[in-house]
Amino acid sequence: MREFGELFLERRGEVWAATLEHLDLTLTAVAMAVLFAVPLGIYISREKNVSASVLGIAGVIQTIPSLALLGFMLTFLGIGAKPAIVALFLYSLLPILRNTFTALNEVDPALKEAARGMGMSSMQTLVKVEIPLSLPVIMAGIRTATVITIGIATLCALIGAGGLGKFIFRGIALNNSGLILLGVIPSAALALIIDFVLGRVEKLLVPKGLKIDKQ
Amino acid sequence: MSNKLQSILVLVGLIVAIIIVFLLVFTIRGEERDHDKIIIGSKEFTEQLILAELLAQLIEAKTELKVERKTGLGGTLICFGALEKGEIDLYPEYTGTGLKAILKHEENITDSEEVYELVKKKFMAEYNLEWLKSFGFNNTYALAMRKEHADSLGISKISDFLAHSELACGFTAEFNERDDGYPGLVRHYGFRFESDPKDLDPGLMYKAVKEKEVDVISAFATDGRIQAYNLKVLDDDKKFFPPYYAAPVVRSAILEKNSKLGDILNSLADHIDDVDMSRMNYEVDNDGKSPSQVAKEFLTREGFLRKKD
Repeated sequence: MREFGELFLERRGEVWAATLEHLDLTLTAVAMAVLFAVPLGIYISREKNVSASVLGIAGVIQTIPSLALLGFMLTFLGIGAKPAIVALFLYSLLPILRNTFTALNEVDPALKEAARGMGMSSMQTLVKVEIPLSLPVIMAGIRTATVITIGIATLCALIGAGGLGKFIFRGIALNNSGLILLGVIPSAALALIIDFVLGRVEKLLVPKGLKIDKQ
Repeated sequence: MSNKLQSILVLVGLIVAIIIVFLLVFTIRGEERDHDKIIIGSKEFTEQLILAELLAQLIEAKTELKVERKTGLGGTLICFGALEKGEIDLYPEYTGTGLKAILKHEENITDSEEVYELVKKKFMAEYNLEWLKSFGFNNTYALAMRKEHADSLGISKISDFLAHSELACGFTAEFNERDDGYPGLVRHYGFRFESDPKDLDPGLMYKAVKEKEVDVISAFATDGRIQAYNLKVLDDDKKFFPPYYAAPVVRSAILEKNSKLGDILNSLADHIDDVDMSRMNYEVDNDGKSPSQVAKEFLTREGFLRKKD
C-alpha cells in the first residue's frame, strides 16, 4: 500500500489529467443522451404504438458488448474521443429512456384529469404536472446511466480515447497491479462523487410540494 | 392511418436533431489531427509499447519532428484500422500477423523472407502502406507450459498433445479465432483438446498458467514472463506457425513528406534479436521498469542517441 501511495504521488499529474478526460467523455455522452432520450421518452409515453419498438431498439444496443461496439465505430469515426462518446451515448440511452417512459406512465390519471379540469392544455399538463411528478424517477435513470457510463468509459482507452482505463489496461499489460489501482480507485471515486452531485441536483429540481409528502 | 407516418417522422426528426448536435459538439471540440506531428501507435502489450518507444525516441533524437504517442490500442484490427484511416502514421506489426490476420492469406508459408516480401508487396498495393525493414527478432506464437509440468508428462513438442488432450488451455481471444491460431493448429496437427480453450487476456494468461489455472497457453516467444515464470516453450515440430518478424508499418504519404524518416527508422533494422527483445520485455514485466526507460537504455547502449550524424 505504501508503494501504491508513492506511485500515486509520483504520477498524480497524469492521474488528474486522465480523470478529467474520463469526466469529459462521460459527461459529454450522458448530456447528449439526456438531450435525446428524455424528449424521446416523453414522446413514446404518449404514442404507445411506437413505444415497444423504440425501447426494444435501445435494449438491443445495450446488449452489444462494449468492445465490439467500439470496434464497429472505428470504421466510421476512427479512433479517439469521437467514437468513444458516440458509444457511451448509445449505452446511456436505455436507462434514461426507460425511466422517463415509466415515470410518465405512472403519473396518477386522476391528477392529469384534475389538471385538465382546471383548464390546462395538454402541453401545460405535461410541463406543470406530469414532468415535475416524474422528475425523481427520470433523475434516477440519469444517475444510473452516469454510473454505468463511468464504468464503460474505462474501455475507451483501447481505442485511444484516454481516460482512467489507460492505467488499468497498461497495468494489466505490464503486469503492474499498482498501475491497475491507479485507474480503478479514481474511477470508483468519480462514480460516487458524480452520483452524490446528481442526487443534490435532483433535490433542487424536485418541487417542494412533493418533498413534504415524503416525510 | 397517418398516425403511424407521423410517429416515424417525429422519430426521424429526433434522430436527425441529435446527429446535428453531435456534429456541432465534435466541431467545437475540434480534434483535427496535427499534420506536422508523427503519430506512433501500438497494441497494448509490453513488447509493442517498448517498440513504439524505441521508434518515437529515435525520431525525436534524429529529427526535428514532433512525435505523439497513441500507444496501447486494443488489438491488431484497431491499430490497423487507425493506420488505414490516417489517425496514426506508423506502428510496429509482425509479418505473420500481417499475412494471416490482415491479408487473410490462407496458404501456410513458413519461410520468413517469403512472408516479408509478400506482406510488403500486398500492403503497398492494397493499402499504400510501407513495411520498413524488420527489427530482427521473431515473436512467433508458441504454446507454453509450466516447465516441471511439461517435463513430468514428457511433453516437449506440440505433437505430444495427441496423447494429452485432457489438458486445460487458456489462449488469447485473437489466438482462439485467428486462422494462424487454434483453429488452424487443430487442422494442421490433427488433435483437439477435450475442453474448449478459455479466452484469456494476453496480460493475464501467463499468470493463469503460473497459478495452475490452466496448463497450456498461447505465449509470445519473446515475452519476458516465459523466463520469469519458468515456462517451457514447446517445439512446433510440424512447422505450423508462420514467422512473426516485427517491423514498423508506415503510411507512404509520411515517408514521402519526410524523406529522411525511412532511413532513420531502418537504422534499427536487424539490431534487436530474440534475446535482446526478451530481455527488454523481462525488464518491464519483471523488474518494473517503464517501457520508455527500457527503450532509452537500449538506444543509449547501442549508440543511437549520440549527437546527430
